[in-house]
Order: sequence, then structure tokens, then C-alpha cells
Amino acid sequence: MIEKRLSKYLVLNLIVIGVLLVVCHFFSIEKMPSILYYLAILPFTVVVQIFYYQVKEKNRIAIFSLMTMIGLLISFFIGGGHG
Amino acid sequence: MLLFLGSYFAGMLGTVIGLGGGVILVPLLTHVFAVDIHQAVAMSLISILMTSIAGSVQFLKQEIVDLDNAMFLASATVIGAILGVQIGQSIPAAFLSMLFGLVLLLMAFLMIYKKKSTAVDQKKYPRAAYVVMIFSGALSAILGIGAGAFKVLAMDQLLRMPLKKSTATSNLMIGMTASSSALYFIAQRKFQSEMMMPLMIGVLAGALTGSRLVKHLPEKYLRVLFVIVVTFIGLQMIGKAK
Repeated sequence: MIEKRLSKYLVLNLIVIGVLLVVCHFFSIEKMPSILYYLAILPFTVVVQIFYYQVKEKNRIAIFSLMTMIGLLISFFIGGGHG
Repeated sequence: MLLFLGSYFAGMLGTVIGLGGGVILVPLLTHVFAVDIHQAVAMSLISILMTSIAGSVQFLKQEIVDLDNAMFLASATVIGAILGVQIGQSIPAAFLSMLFGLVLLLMAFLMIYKKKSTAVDQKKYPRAAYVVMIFSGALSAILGIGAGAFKVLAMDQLLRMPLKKSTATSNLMIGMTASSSALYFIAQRKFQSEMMMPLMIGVLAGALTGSRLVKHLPEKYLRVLFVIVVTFIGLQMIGKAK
């Protein structure tokens, strides 16, 4: 069931991103990084949704995987990889 | 307009030969539009996000994505991507171009000598698959490609997953991997804003056309096309590595 919900969620977001990209390109190019951030964060929101679903199913590997990903990203961006 | 048409063609050809747009986008940006290879890698990765998400929609609808394995293996590709971003930015452009060409030639070689998984040995090797995924994530961030060929190969040979399922799972993982390195590139402004819209919309439209076109082309011809295109681009990249 989660698959159907995720696919609808992604379609909706892709349409929004597509429209924002076109609008930004013609009217406000300096806003482009914000749209790209939105696009880059989208897969992680999918991961969180899968995680939420799998926690309900008590899947320990999923919990480990998500914690690893979040931990790595936080340490990467806060710990100097960002600059 | 030229960029839109170029990326449309890259997206279409990339989908038809089963590699996504990155393999063609990076050479297109560096050779035709004279973009620095480090920027081309970043722009390609951001565009890959669009095609990966669009592809995932179809695969999720068909319920052929292995979400458990995707989550587990994506943690490895994210580790690889973070390492890859650090490595890739310190590699000189000429060496990066050479590496890109060599990886493409390796892909062509793997396609020619591709073995089908044998029914005799059905043992799974999750640790080995995890290591291959770290390598694949790093390669993706260094070269600006999805590196789906390596992911599918690992899932097929080491986790004994059916090809269709591994392709669908790999597609979702490409998005997760690309997003972690794309976040870094966006923060560092390693892209040209005015080129992003035609690039992303073009590659997405091309990928959608390619996915319809691929149903009508016989697999034998697709393999031949894959080897020709990948070998040609690989040699071009090695030739330009000065």
C-alpha cells in the first residue's frame, strides 16, 4: 500500500518542481538553488516515509539503515564537508 | 533551446540503453557546452534526481521495488557518495575525464561478457553487496552518473534478486544517492543556474520518451547500441583527457 501512496506523493512533487523550475528560469533565476534544494531533499522525505512504515513493521535493518544515513549526513554537513 | 534538445536526446538515449542520462550528459556538457567537468558532474547529478524520481513513480506503481533492500543498501551508497564527493573535487579535470572514459569502457566490457545468474549457486552475500554499493555510491558522486549498472549487477549476482526487481530498486537508490551528493553541490553552487531548467526538463522529457521507445526495440539491438554508444563516449573522454 505504501508504494501507491509514495508514487502519488512523488508525482505531485515532480509537477510542483517542474512548474517552479520554469517560473524560476524566466522570472527569478536567483531562486534556482532553493528549488534544487527542494528536489534534493525529496528522496529523503521518501526515506522517512518508508522508515515510518517499517518501524510499524518493527524492521530493525531499516532502522539501522536510516540512522546510518541521517548520522552520516549530519556529520558531513556540520563537520566540515559542507565548507 | 540547443541545451534542451541535447539533454532531451541524452535522456532518451540514456533510457533506451538502460543507463539513465548521466553517462551522456557529462560528455555533452563538457564537449558541446564547454562546461568545466567538475560543474558538469554536479549538474548531471542534480538532473539524475529528476529522472530517478520519475522512474521510481512507475516502479512503485507496479510494486516491484524491494523497499527493505533499498533502505539497507542505500545507507551504503550514501556512505560512498559522501566519500566520492570529497574525492571527486580533489581530482584534476584531466584525470577525472580519463576515469570517466575507463569506467564507460568497463561498462561496455561487462555488457559484452554479462553472465546470467546461475540457478545452482543461490547463496546470498549481503556484506559483499554492501561493499559494492559503497563503491557504486562513490563512483556516482565522482563521475556524476547513476552507476545503476554496478548496483543492478551486485543485486543480481550477490543478492540473487530478479532483474526487474533489482532494476527498480536500483532506480530508487540512485535518487537517494544522488540527493546526498547533490545537496553538497547545491550548497557549493557548483552549477550554472541558467542552464538547469532546460537541462532538467529536457532530460526528463527525453527519459519519458525513451521509456516508451524501449518497449518497441528488441533487446539484442539495445545491447549492440549500448556497447557502441558507451565505447564511443568512453574513447572520446579518454582522448580529451589532456
